[in-house]
Amino acid sequence: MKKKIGSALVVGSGISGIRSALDMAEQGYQVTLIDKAPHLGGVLTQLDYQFPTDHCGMCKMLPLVERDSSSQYCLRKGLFHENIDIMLSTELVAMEGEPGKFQVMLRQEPSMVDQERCIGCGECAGVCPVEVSDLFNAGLTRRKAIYLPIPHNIPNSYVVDMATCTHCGKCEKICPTQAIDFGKEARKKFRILVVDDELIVRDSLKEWLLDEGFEVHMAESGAEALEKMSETHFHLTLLDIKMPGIDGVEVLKRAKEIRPDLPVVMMTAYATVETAVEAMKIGAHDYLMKPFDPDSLMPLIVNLYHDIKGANVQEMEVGSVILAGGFDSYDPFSGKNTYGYGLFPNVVTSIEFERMLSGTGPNPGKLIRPGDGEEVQKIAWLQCVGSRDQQADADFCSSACCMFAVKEALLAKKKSGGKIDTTIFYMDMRTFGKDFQRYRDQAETESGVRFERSRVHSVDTTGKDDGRLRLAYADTAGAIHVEDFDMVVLAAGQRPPSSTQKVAEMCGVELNQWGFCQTEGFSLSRTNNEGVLVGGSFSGLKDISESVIQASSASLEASRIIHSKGGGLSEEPSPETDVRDVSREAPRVLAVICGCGGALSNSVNLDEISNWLEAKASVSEVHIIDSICTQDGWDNLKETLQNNLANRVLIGACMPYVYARKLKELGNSTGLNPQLMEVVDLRTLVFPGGDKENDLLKQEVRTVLSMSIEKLKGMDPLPVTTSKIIQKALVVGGGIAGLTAALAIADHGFEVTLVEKTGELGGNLRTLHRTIEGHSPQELMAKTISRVEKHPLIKTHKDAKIIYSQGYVGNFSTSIEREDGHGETIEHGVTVLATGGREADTKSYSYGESEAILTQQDLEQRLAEGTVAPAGLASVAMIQCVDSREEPRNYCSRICCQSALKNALFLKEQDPGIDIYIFYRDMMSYGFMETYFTQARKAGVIFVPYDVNQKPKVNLENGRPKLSAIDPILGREWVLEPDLLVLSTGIVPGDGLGVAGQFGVTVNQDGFYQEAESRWRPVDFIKEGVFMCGLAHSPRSIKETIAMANAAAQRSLRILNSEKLAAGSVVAEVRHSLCSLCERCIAFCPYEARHYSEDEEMIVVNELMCQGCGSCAAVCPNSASVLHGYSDQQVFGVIDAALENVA
Amino acid sequence: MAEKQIDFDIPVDGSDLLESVQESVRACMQCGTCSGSCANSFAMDFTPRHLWRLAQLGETDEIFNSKTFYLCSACYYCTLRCPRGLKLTEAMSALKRLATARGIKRHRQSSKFYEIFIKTVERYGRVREMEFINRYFFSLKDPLLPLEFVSLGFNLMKKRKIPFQLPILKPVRDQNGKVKYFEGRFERLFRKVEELEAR
Amino acid sequence: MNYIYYPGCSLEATALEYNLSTQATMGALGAELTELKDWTCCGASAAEATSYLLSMVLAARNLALAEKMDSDADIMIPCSACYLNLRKVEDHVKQDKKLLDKINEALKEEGLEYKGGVRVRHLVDVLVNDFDPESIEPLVKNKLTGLRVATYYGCQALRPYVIYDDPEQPRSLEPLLLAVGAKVHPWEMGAKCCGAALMTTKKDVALELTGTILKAAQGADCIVTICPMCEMNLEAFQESISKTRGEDLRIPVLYLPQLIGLALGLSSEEIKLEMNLAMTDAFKTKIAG
Repeated sequence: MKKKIGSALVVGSGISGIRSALDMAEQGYQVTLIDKAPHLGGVLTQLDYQFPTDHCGMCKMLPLVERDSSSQYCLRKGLFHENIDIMLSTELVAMEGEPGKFQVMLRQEPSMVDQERCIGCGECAGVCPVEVSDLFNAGLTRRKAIYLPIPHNIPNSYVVDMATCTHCGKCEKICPTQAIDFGKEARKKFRILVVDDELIVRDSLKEWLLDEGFEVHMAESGAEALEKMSETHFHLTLLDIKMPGIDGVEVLKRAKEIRPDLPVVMMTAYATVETAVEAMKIGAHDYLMKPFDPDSLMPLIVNLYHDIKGANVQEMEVGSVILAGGFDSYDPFSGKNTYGYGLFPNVVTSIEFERMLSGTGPNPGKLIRPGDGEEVQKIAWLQCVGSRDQQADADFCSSACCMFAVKEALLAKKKSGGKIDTTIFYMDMRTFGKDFQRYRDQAETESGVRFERSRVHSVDTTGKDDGRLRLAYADTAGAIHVEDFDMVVLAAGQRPPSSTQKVAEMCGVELNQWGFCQTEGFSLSRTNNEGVLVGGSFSGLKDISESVIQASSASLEASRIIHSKGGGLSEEPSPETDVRDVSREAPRVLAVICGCGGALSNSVNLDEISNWLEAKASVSEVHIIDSICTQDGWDNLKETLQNNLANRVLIGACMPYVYARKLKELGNSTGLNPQLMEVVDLRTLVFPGGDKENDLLKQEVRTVLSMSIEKLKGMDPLPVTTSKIIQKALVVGGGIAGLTAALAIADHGFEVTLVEKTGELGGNLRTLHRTIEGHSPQELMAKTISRVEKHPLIKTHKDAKIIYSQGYVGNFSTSIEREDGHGETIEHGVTVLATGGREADTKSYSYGESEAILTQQDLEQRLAEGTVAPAGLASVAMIQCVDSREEPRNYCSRICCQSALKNALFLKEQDPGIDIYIFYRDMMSYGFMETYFTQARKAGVIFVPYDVNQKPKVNLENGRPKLSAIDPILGREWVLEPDLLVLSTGIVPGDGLGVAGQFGVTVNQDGFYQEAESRWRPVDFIKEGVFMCGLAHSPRSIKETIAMANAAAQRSLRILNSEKLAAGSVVAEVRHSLCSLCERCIAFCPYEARHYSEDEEMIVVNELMCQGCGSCAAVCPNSASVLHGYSDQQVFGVIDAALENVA
Repeated sequence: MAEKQIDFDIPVDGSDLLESVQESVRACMQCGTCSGSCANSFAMDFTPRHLWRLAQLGETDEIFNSKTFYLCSACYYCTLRCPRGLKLTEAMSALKRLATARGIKRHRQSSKFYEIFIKTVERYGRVREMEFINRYFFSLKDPLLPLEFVSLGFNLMKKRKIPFQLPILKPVRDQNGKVKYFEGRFERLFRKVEELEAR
Repeated sequence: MNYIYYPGCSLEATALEYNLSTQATMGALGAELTELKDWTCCGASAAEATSYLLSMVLAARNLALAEKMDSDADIMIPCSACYLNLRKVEDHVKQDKKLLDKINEALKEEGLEYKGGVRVRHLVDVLVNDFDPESIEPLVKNKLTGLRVATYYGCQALRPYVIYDDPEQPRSLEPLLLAVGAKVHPWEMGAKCCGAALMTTKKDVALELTGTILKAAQGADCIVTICPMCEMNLEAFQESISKTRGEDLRIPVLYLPQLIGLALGLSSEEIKLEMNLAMTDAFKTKIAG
């Protein structure tokens, strides 16, 4: 085990926080991952399906190398990693210090349920009298005050919602494992002083407080109170404001002199609320409003008690902080609510719809109308609810909702076998991401999703009592349509989380005008505070893949800070533990059964089980130890094993997942490979409600134990192989992506070779002169190139190309050849491909036939050179999507709309008199780009939408372009004779194909690099150790390219950081004697971990790349491919054991 | 960037006002919310969106040839719902003002209505409905039009809802105290407003 | 509770019953109304269609008068158009200091100045927010049991200023109506437009809108309104609409304070029920019983 000195705090455990935490942890940093929610996963816990594959796949983010450091099960269920401390229900409350050395203070809400003891049986929820709406199901279902935050979590322990809990104590009494403790015992030592001049108030408070178990003292005047305070130490004072003599505020002032830390709560009548608020300013903890109702007052007091007593405040030092607090959804009920959300039950938000589709949702995945349970036949999606709406303070686009809607419409189609009628009402369909356009088109042409370009203004009922909803809308030509639907799904936009302001102030970071975190210059992750980085939607509006990219970019920057402040790469040598070689010993199983605090022992006769186990030949000893989950129980087990000759351990208890970390510990202290230990869940078998016959129960217990014994018997763990890593990187491509990646890796102390095919570095930046936000790409380029050229660890080869490359993760060998004919072979551990892209050529719209017809890049270049002067222009027309978003180039190039807006705004700024017309299909001004779209309109730029089947026509007259197009709003033809016609031709990949071939990686149908998985592994190739970034992946802005380059560097660093990498313990191997070299396993391996070695004439498994999925073993016709821990013999043994007791 | 305040308080005679209307709908993105919302769009020659599009393009003649803005009944649905937060009902009023100021013939009936209404206010400070309605119908010189409302007027009178009151006018006297003429209640205020607007 | 009361021109004439019933009912609820002295026209829809500044000045004059009486008062207005005009000034001058200066320069002619005091409130706002339905219930002497009421809010009391109700699906009056024993007619027309002044200038258009509302009100015993313009449009053309549409769409239309007044035990004389244009004997019998 290695340990980095550096450590980081990640705030927020959504997809972005998890990605950042895993990145840092894999690199070897110690990470604290906190979330104020009682569960991990953020909003994705609620989404069962994610665009574009309509299923999950989050597990693909789990570590691929050093897999044993981490959990290897569904990430939506939970996460465990050796280097990550997860703290839930926890908030950052203070931060001090400087980058590289921050002191942070974390406050964890007191937990009434001991997570270690809770077995998730649910008895507590059964007796809880409180019912509130369940936010997990977006309020569509009800839950108790003690509840499971996420139904699918592992381990899944109950939590108490303190805001609604009435402290009745029923759950505490019924819990079979005594996991719940409201601390009533401790309350006896909690002294409360009640100060009030009215006897009746004092008496009733006394009675109520005594009932709750507190120690209560009384004072009838301010003077008496002060006297008592100087004599006795109180933990809480309840102080009336209005009293004769010394009044409450005065008492407070003096009390603060006597005992500055005494919590005082003011009691006030309605009339003196303002005084109470004043009192809080001079140190009162809170105030309570009279008259008191014991049912609501006591929970408040108890919460105060927990507040004062129970909160777990922890201080720690971290090198950097990553903010990944995600986003909140816009509440359509707020504001003008023209869509009747909250008024009509069949108007739902997209997140509610998502829950309705879920198997853990309100109607186990059955799509029915929430209002009356009727079958759904027709659904409308309304886009831009609380987005692109200045009345909702949102001059921005929420970026992800368009694809969300398409996905949901497709799911509705799928769930209903195509029967449900689906319509998406939109203004611009923002399909700007990689492969989005085809997905949208297929939804329309193949699945029959209807797309209606119109913003629906409001939702009404039909006037009949049929629960249906009536939409009236104007089509583009102005005709009004009225149509009825069963359900309306609102694409509720994104908002910064409510705590953003507080967090931002604490961390000293700036927010933008909409309250999202402001990032610096060309970075998507750097804030104005160098040591504080931001990931995911916290800086606004991203889909999964962008969040993942940005999260990795944030962790890269965080790591760079820690490293630069000297906290990085020095390693603490980890003690190597000797593992006992037991391969030649006969199996001797030590079986330990946990009584589960009586829950198991009361239902099953454990002595009988024990005798039955002892009779088995492979079992050497049986012990019954109660409550192994407690420290005592665990110590007891450890001792038992230490004094034992057993070479296998079987633990019959509960929740096997919880034990992963503990078994590792046990292995370290006893020298027994954790692979030889197995935990089997007996507890679930006796869950309440099952009421099984005793015989059946006994049989089930025996079966699961037998199965595990069989599995353990056949276990023959190999020592985990490690592979040596060449700690150097190769970066192909000298544009901003390649330069950024090279710097990021080199800044961490590793050698980088940078290969550029042209004679100059800088790529496309050489032709860019400004960004829409007003930053200078030229400055960025100059600075970056100079840093690269001066960097002692970066060696640059210009005019050079790749001749040949071979190898695998950690060990590549690549030959390059320079233009002068000289060549070189480079050994490297990772490869970053950043081969870029370029503006597409075109023959459309008479391009090339007139001086007056330019591309956007031409225009920008000429404006910079001065060969086109704004002063000489009377009118300019621009056409978007030239040759784009239709086959064969059916993808959106993402940056052309912003280029057009940028150039149009620039021209308007230079001369407001220039008439500018932009002909577009959908303006892709996603995210905060939307505000420039608004600005361009305000500046008087005229936007004319056109249909792909009715494009503008361009003719040349006397060498000048003449353009005609239909204005769909006015329904008439426009004829323009612009001085300039500017074409947005989009982006095509650079020389991807040739390079891809050399490195054995693939490209998609458009020639862009094919990532391993579009959302979860956006910068990885399937081939481990090779990464991509920049335009070669897909069109993107400079900022987005830089983020992606950082992400690629970050993925590289987790490999480069170690001299050796360990494979997982579950890996495949080949029995060459049985292998017929049919190579089926190679074709089926999803991780490219197998190849045919011509030298050795055999199939070779790269254990570092093998993820132990077992596909090869399943496909092999000869049983020559074997997965460790799952040999045929073992698996058959387990099956036999499972069937043994079935009569 | 600071939002430019849309100022409708501009002299009504020139093209400035149209420019201010134009300015106020520049940010329109033709989403159609207004057209879909409009209670009276069925009776309009151009839907509101169409009108705003024309305004963006500065198509003055077409705008004033349309009766769309006079069909606005100020229900404020479009203003409420416009995602760009445009003050569309106010822009419609601005067009009404402009049409009145320009004396556009085809809008005579509507502009007369408002003109005479406001004249009554100028004279008496409050609306004298009887006088106002009479003057309005008289001004339209359409002998049939009043007939449409005859029964209503009769009904209202029957219910004693149209009070016959003597006009309260202020006598303006000369030095000798002789009444020169009667001044309307708000004559001075109206002149002042005109003066301020002309500034 | 004290309010400065601004009736507006219509309430002196065509909507006299609105005026008198408002005073009577508010009195019965224990509110004290002081009529704004020397109030003048708010500008109606005509001022705005003639001159922007004039529309502001005419409304502001009344605010200035009210301010002189008590700058911390609530000025209560039953007429929705008057309400909106005054409310608009209150709102616009907050955003535009120059406008306020201009207004005041004009108001000098009247010897007045407006500083932005007093709060403009619609009668409905006052009724639903300052009076608790629970406290009204004991005052009910004549429970309107079984009376099915279509609540019609119209436009300008709800929009564009969203103050006390949902501007699309208004429901604020329901607790009040339930408190006096009435039932609420379920319909979607509460916030729709009646055509307003178009009834004079573009009659056919307004009749179409009004007809749709009357049609939807079928099944209710009466419509309740809160605006003289709405009341007039809904009341006065029922005969001709019924004729054109070929179905009987006649229905009594009452001002809200008339209905509440009835429940509080005011006589039909006190609430001027005889002044309503569309009143049926059937309805009279129903409320008498």
